[in-house]
Amino acid sequence: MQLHRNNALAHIARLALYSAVFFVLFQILLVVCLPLSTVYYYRMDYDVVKDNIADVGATLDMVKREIRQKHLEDYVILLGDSIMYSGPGGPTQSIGYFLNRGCEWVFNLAIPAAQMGDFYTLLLMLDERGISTDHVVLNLTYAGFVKRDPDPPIVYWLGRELARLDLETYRSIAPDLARSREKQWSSDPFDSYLEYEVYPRIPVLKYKDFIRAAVERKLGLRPIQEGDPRPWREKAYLKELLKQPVYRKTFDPSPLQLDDANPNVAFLKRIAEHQKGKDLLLFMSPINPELMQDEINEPGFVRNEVRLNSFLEDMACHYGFQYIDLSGVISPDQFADHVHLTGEGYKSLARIIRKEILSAWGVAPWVSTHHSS
Amino acid sequence: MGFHTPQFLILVFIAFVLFAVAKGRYKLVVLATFDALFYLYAGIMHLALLVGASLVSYYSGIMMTGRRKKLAVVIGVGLNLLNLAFFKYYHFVLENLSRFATLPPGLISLKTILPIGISFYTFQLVAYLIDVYRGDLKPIKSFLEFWVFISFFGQVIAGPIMRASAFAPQVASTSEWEFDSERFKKAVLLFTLGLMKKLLIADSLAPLVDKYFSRGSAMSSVDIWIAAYLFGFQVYYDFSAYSDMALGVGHLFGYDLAQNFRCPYLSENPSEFWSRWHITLSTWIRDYLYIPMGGSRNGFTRGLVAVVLSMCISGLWHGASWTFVLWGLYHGLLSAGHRIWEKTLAKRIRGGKLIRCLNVFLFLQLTMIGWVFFRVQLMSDLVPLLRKMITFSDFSAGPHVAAYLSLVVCLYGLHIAEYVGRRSTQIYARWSQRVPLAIRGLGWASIAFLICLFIRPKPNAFIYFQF
Repeated sequence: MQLHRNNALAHIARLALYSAVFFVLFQILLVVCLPLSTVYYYRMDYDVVKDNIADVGATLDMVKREIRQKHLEDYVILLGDSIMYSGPGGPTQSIGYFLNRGCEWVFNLAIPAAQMGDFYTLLLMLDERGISTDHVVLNLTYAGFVKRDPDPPIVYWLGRELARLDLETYRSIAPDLARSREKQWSSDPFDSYLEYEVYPRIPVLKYKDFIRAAVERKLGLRPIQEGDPRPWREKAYLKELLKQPVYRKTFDPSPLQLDDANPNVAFLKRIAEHQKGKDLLLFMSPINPELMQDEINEPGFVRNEVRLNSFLEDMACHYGFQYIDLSGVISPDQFADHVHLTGEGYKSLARIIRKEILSAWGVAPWVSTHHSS
Repeated sequence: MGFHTPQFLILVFIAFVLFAVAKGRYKLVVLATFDALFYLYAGIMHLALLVGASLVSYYSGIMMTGRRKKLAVVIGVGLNLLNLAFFKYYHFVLENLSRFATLPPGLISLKTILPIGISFYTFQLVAYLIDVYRGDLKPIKSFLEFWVFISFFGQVIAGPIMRASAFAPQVASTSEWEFDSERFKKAVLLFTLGLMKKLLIADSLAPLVDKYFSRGSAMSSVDIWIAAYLFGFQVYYDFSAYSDMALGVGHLFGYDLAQNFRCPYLSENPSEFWSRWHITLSTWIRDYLYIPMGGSRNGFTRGLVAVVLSMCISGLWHGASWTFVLWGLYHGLLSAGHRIWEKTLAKRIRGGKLIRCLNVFLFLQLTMIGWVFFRVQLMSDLVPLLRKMITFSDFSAGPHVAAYLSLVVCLYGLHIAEYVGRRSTQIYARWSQRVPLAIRGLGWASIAFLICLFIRPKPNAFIYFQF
């Protein structure tokens, strides 16, 4: 009886061992064979990342693999919110796509709804992985400098990563984050431990959300989560929608506080410090001048805009980065709503960014094969 | 804590190791402790309530050995049903009363929790008390055994609703447990099967179903049929996944829990369906509601009334909402209709494989119509949706219809495959004997890989956990 039980246990143990060996082999195969486009296709896969923000780390690891495999040295990192991400259109209507035509060394790591604290955290995450931040382009918005109550939180997505990578900075904003109702990371310690400490060590668990999404999209079983990319004039509902407080707040004409008490300014300074000695291009995102004419012609808004531009130009001189204000440079016809653009709009924006990069940073290997889009 | 979460896997692993190491009656102590820990995860109030219900039922059972048998059963059953009624139906009753009378605001604003698994453990306790009262069962003398009988973490949250006559003797012999490799393999196999059903199928269907039903009565006839089918399979794969995993956990600790599903969508008629769908609830309804109401002993018409009433109560058991009552009523009417058919016209029609297939097909459509009652969010959507479903008045088709229809066909194919697999009990034995160990290792690694792929950031709770 005892002998029979021992044999049975040994048999189960052998089977478990075989299973474990094959499981490890599958992980190796996955790391080698998983194409970049499953995880990153001209921009972050927001549809996946929004449901599990730990997937940002997996995206950065894939970008790093791409950089290493292709021996890239000079490449540009794009950071920002939904405007740099290029919503509401698809990936082939995005800034990343248009900038990459002919030269594929631009990585668009923008995440919709991301705030200045997220951009700073992303820079730290890139440093951690050894991904160069020598050339960074970042989009700013007027809304980012408006007073927070405390939402949107200055770190919308990456609070857990910020706490890990820069605890002191995290502590300085922790009281506001504690009051925030919009922050988007799990506060369950066990779930966080799994997502950030365990899963990233096992490739199938690390990339599971991307692979599943890719298969579901292929089978037509995953609803496409993109917005409506049509020009704004074709959307009769927009005017009514933009009257909602959540949108009105982003054009608040009350005087902006442009000092360290404004977390947007404080984090912008941290970013500027981080990028000292490196290339950094900031641009103020354009606003639809026709749709939002009432808001942007408010005297308070105009005064704020002038003060903000002058403040950012002074900062640019002090820290040595480039700043451009893109207000009014995009045709109203190329807007999809109040701030987002159509595919054509993003193409125009990409053209401007390319031009600015070339004039500010000169010719670099990553633009040597470029052709004008 | 869902069975498909890493937390549960860790809990089961630790519980199993300690259980295997513990000697004699300490095995029961280990199990009782982990049962309490598992339930505590839902909240201390939930646990307190379960302990309270268990103590009341335990002492009522003991009291039934004395002279005040009737009083004991009234107290035991009464308190359990009151407990269920208060926590599950309080707001439902008030909401309906408030339509006819003005109620004090304090009554309406009272906040209650819905203790997890309350419907399941209440029915299990009530069955125990009635069985003891009827003399079909001797009361459980040890509270430790009684606690494991009612709170075993493999079944406390969503069944199967175990009868004490089947489960209590198994619990009593827990101390004699010895490692049995065949049982262990069966446990792993059933748990894995359940995990795959839940993660790969039910949770993949959930967003599609949500997307369809969020449109309410705006769905076209084609959409509502697809939505009903997808939900029908979602609810089946979700609940049967849980039940398979419960059986697996039971085997791990040496318990044979009752099977709850036997491929219900292959049923020809309502009575067959209820002998294949949520079997432990169906038999509970039959033994403790339908038969005490007279069953079929008091004439054909009263039998029909009893079946309709029983099914309405079964619907209400699922949730405190009129849509569930209507779902029960619908199934009650189907059952009554089938009895009338059996008594009158059925004898004139010759059976055969073709007729059987036709019956299965037709009854499947009726079952899917029933799921609309179960899933619809607003009562006001129900009638327009059913009208569109039956009359095909709006034939416009949304995007990906072909893909979704193919998916429905695949899901039904899987259902048939499960039926064949369960009938051919030798498949796994042959697989174990004839296939080399390395190939079997490859198979298990592939399954583990697939399961890992389908672990979601925010796991969907099992649908039946809400009941």
